[in-house]
Amino acid sequence: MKATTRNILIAALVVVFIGLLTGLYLFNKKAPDLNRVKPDHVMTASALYSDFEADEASATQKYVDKVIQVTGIITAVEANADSSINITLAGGDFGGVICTIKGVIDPAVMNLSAGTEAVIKGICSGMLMDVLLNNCVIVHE
Amino acid sequence: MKKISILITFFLFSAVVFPQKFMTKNGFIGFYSHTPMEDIKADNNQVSGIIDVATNEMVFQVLVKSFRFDRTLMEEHFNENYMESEKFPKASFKGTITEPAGIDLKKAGKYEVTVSGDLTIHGVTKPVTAKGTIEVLADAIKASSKFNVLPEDYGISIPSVVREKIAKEMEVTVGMNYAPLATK
Repeated sequence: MKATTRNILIAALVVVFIGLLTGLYLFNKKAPDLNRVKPDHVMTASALYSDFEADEASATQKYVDKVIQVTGIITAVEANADSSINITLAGGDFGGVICTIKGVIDPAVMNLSAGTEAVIKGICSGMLMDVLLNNCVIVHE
Repeated sequence: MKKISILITFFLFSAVVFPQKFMTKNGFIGFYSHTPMEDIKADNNQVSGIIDVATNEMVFQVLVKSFRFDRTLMEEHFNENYMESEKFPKASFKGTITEPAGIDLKKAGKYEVTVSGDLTIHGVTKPVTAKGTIEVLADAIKASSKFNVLPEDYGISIPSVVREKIAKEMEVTVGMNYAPLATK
């Protein structure tokens, strides 16, 4: 076997191997832990809600799939059937910002109760009746 | 005249002491696909729903992007290739409790029910009938159901490369916990 042919073969194998590793990595990639992700937008829950209420199409363009950090007053804390909880932050007259936090957390321990202020970071899914954030984490400042 | 009668009807209903409508914005819908190759599971805890105990009608609405998967890649494929969630951001169901006929959900109790209505996914609307349980409590209503959905029915084509990994039928689980909607 000529040296060049062998080198090409080795190079090809390396490329294939890297490709396989990348593929495997991408395939198994878990949802990101937002604790370590810088938010694309930092704003109040009511500003986010009113942006969607004013112009849903352009707000969708601007915020959906983006990491948003919102500050607002908690209006409701609901435990879901799986170990997640939904925290609703006050937004406007007809809705707010609902944030789903996964994993077992005790709302009392996290000091989350209606009437208190919270800072939450999450990925925006868009607006239904409220603006919805997923994969949320509590931001401790 | 028609407007006035609608107004009168509205005031008559709002005067009823027992709340006519129950609502939640924190409902659950999940789906599960099982094949020998792979299990796929997604959860959505941001389901909006209303149940009307006067007409026995139920409405559900979800944002497709609120379904969360264990793996990011699956979530991307689900949104981009199958559900096309940018084009069809919402999925919804609107139906009526057909069995037992004339069920009175103002009375506390646990009922086995059948609900029939229209399910809209991926911009395609199809009639669906599902069995479920409704539990009427003093100040809340709980509802749950499990039924199967065929992606092909909703114009969702699954490429042959991954056909082995995705079940023909998705098992859909619904769990709602409604609170009375304030009518004053």
